[in-house]
Amino acid sequence: MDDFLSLSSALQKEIEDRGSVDLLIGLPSYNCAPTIVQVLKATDSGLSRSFPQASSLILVVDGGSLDGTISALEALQELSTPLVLTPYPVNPSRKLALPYHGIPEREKALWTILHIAQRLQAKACAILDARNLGTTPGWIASLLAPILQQGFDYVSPVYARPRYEGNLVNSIVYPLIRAFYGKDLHHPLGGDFALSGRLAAHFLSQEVWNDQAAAAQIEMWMAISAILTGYPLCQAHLGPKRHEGPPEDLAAALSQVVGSLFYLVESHQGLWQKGLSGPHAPILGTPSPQPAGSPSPNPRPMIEAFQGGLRDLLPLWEQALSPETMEELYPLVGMGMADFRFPMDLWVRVIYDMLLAYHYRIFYWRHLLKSLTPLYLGRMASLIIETEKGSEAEAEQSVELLCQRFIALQPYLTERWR
Amino acid sequence: MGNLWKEAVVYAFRDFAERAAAFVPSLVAMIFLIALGILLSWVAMRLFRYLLRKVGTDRWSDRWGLSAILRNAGLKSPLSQLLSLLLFWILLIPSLMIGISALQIQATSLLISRFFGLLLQAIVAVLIVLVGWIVANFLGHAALIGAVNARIDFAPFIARAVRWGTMILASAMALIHLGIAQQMVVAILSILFGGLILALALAFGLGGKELARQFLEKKMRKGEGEEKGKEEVPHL
Repeated sequence: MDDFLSLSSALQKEIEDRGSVDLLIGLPSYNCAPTIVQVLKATDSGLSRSFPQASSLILVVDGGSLDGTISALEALQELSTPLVLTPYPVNPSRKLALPYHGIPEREKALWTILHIAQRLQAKACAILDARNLGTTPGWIASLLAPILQQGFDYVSPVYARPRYEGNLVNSIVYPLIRAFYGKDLHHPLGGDFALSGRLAAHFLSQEVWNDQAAAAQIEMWMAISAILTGYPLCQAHLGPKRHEGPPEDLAAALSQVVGSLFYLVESHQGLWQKGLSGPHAPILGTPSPQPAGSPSPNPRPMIEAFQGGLRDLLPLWEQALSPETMEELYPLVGMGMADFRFPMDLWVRVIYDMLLAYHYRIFYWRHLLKSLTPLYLGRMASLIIETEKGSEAEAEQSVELLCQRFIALQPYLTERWR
Repeated sequence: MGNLWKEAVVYAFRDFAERAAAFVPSLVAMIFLIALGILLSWVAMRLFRYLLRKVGTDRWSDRWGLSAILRNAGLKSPLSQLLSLLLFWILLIPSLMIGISALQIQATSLLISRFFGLLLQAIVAVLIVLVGWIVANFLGHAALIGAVNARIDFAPFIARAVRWGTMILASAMALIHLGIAQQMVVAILSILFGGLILALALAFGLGGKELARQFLEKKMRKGEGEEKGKEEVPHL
């Protein structure tokens, strides 16, 4: 990956002048003008408040913003921590359809940050989401203190979110990581995380940066690699997340996130088939109160989307899903909202069938995973109907129960996996 | 009489022997050229297959769903094997033609070279249809899934239209390549696609008027509707 890195003269000078820093905060950015200044102010305040003795650097790695992000950063005067802006080259075609996080070729931005962290011999490096208006000064200590003071190498975020926000993570990513890798990382795709200098060096030495498929979801790869390599990792309560980005394209996000996870699960088949388990990843800090959420989403359009999918995508689903799974899906087509239920075990089998279809290349993987969207909405509708009137604890329990079912039904997958 | 008969028989045998002596080297040359053609085509096929595997063609074909489409069409071999087999036949046909022309039988040579010329054209036409069929299936799937996820009621109709449109285009290209009724094919295609665009324009213009009004109304009254926005929860 060395070929794309051309350090700006300001950055070269900064590296030469400083020689080394204790802490590096990196922010990948692309068209983040409305939010980045607020995030930077919170970061600066957090660094001066929590680590006044440490030498720090804030590094913004920009993918060619055109919305005034650069001028907003150049006009920013009142930071006490040095701020350096450096571009990273992006293939123009990648800007046409942005990934769900809104940063084109984010892996290049992260590689640049880790590379600079290594050159500056940073003890710890935090990556922050430049679109997250929920970022507070307290987050800096929450992310970096476990590395500097407690010897952890990787800190994953735990956000306080309204009940049904982040459901894709709760219903697919989190349970699958628990089932296959034996670790309970709640929000591995949060966008805000931290790692030690030695783990950054380890990541930089891996082949993943040249593997387009793996690099596409580098954050997931980092979290899973940290688990697999045995570096001590923990989670930190951060607080509410307020990601201000372009509207989410659910089907695209599903195919990107689940596709990356399936890719990694497939690459690690030799490991999880032996059975991976380990101690829980401790959650440090105090949990923030659940933010007063907006009213629950309306499940009716989701049920309609699911039933429309069952009607129109049937020929594709019949290729991808097992006959037993299909047998259980057919009766859901005529159900009204009052009695609509998409059972948990059925959902687990749908995901495992999709993973098998991905493994056996039943059809083009993006089509396969985008066809999962109506099924996901069906399960989400059922979850809302089942838990809407329950307490927060009951809702959390249902996520825990789902993880247990993913683990319990894993033999269903392993028996069919060759 | 006896001498005459003897002369006739001897002449016939001598003539046959002379013709055979003149023909056998051509026959040997033909066998040699065809054998050489088979050998070179086989070597080229193996080399090509090796290179295709080395650059990960089968992995790429799996990832893009091409293997699945070929499997559904009954072609169960990996893409690298299919492509190298195709190369084998493409190289073998000219070597067969060269071999047969070594016989120096003018009528046969002409006929055979015309036959193989047509065969080569037919192979290319079949390839055009095959590629068109693969692309049609791929685009059909993409259109179906995209339309279902956009919650369009007539998603299967859109998918069928995309699939058949692509297939018709590929078939027309194959016919034009074969030189069959070229002008008629172009005229039919122009009428078909021109008519389709006009029909769609009319359908959206007249039928979509109400839809456009509702869409604009919804946009203008954003936040007022009870249902609006309630499903729009961040999933990640």
